[in-house]
Amino acid sequence: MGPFEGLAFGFGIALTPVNVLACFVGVLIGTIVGVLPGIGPVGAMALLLPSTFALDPATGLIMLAGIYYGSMYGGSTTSILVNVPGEAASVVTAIDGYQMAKQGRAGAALAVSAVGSFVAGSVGVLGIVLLGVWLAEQALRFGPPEYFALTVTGLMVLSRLSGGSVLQSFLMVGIGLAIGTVGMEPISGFRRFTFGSVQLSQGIELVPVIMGLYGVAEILVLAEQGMKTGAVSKVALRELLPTRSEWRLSSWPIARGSVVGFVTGLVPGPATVLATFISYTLERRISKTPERFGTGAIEGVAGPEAANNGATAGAMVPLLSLGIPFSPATAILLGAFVIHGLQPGPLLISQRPEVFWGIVASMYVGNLMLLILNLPLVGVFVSVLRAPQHLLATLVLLLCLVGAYSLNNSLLDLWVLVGFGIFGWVLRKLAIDPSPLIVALVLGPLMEKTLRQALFMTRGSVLDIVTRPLTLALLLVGALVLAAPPLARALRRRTP
Amino acid sequence: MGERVIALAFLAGSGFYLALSFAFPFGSTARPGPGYFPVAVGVFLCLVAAVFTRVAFRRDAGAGGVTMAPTSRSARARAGATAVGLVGFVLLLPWIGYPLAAFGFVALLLRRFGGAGWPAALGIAVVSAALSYWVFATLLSVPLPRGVLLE
Repeated sequence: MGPFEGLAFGFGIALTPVNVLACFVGVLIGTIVGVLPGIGPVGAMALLLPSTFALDPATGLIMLAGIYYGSMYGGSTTSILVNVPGEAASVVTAIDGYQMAKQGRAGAALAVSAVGSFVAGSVGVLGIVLLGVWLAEQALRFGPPEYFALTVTGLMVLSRLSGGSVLQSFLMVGIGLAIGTVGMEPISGFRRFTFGSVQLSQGIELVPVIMGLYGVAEILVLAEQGMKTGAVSKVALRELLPTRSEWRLSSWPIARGSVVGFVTGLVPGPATVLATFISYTLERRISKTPERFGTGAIEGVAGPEAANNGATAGAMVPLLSLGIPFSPATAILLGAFVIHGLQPGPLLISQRPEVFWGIVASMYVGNLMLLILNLPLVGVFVSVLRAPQHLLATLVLLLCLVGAYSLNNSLLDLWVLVGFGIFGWVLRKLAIDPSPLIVALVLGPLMEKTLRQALFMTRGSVLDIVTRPLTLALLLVGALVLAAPPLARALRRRTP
Repeated sequence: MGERVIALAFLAGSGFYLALSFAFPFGSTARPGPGYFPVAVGVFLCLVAAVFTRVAFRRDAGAGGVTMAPTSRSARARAGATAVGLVGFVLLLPWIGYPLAAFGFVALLLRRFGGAGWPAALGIAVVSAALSYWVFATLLSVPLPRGVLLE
């Protein structure tokens, strides 16, 4: 099946009534989650993951993916209207978007943001079809050494690109790898760090860890800061249309943002956030009137908003084609695959084409739904901000608790949730980004398995592993990304 | 001070993890055993935690330095009370069952967060406990604990 035949097949899967409904629920929840500061898409996906057990694999994954890219739309709404980014990826949008709102152009900013996101989502789907399929074919040639190098490089790049210092990221990576070793060892079944507990033999579940670090920790921070209910101004529907000049100024930034976002999404790290900053910087650099940026330049909204949606599509490529998630959100999607007995990666396209193509096609359907929903219903979504924060926080905590318990009917998962919630709060106090911990927790077992298989293959020769062409290239890329900033600083100090 | 304590906790935890890893069969480089990867991770973790601790004990916190966001005592008390509520829920759940634990958790937290009098807090607690029990236990067939005292 060629890429475009596959996409047509995927639309046949995505447009079934149950999958359309799942996509709708996902993007709706994603938009609401994006509007609300606090619980982000990762926490929401983790909360809803148990509810996908009863669904068909494609249906459950379509819903979860919908939450991921839907939250990008929601985050921009509050950035523009109230200067409160609902998502980290919408921080940049607030710079010029809120200025436009103050000038009475909120509707235009929202419209350009929605259209830009839709265009980027569509470009992203095309990118997945072309690059994802090609990458999956190449990955069939990967052996254990290549997969090991890919996981190591991914963690190195993530450590450099995550918020905070490399030292802090390394600490989180180490903790994530360590947690991943708890339970039955993957090759021989030997029990490690279980202290005689049968429950610990199953290992530490990913979902309660994520719910704790992103959901519970966020609520603890909100409790500390004091709960406030936001004041929101109205947007008149008649103001929604941008002028012809605004469309003209937005079109190239949207095109550039789509590509920048998709490419950034391929890279490990906080892709959606990075993509928006790269896009904003690029637009300001190439603009003939850069002094307008920060005062309500529509290019400063169009480019970043396209970029963050493009990045969500780009992030799906390593997950679907290689089976490797490079962010917490795609790590949750990997968890969903595993729960349904599926393994994403090069064989997914051939063995379960309805899942692969169904998810890809549903991203286009979901982006179309978001474009249609977000503009007329912007007032409804924004009114969610008026809900009392203390009530939302309490109910979210209750959902986290019952959701974590429902995974395995185990008190251990509850203790993991609470423990990581408190740990996540401590990390917030230290301004340490926990995302490397999540990615390392997911990649750790794969890293161990491929390392041991590689050592078996080469009879213990590490040199034979690292000198394989692709392995060497990947490790060099990772080392370069890690070493580049300090080397650049040293060179600058030397040149007069 | 707090950040130094946390850094030392990371270091102690890393050392503990490494010590436990040595108890597993290491194997050899040609045939790595179950202890091979944990020992490698433990060594990495101890090195990183040691540097992290050194940075935390530095006087001036420059790039890579560890600082803790300052908060007032009342702010920390609010977060602490929430954490205690969570721990209390998990401890009491097997004894009093989900409906009662959820009711108590929601009511106390609403009062602690502020913004709700006792009648509103109790009313919301009843509705949320009942609704969540119905959704998870009845609709999704999750065997939520009914509690030792109620069985």
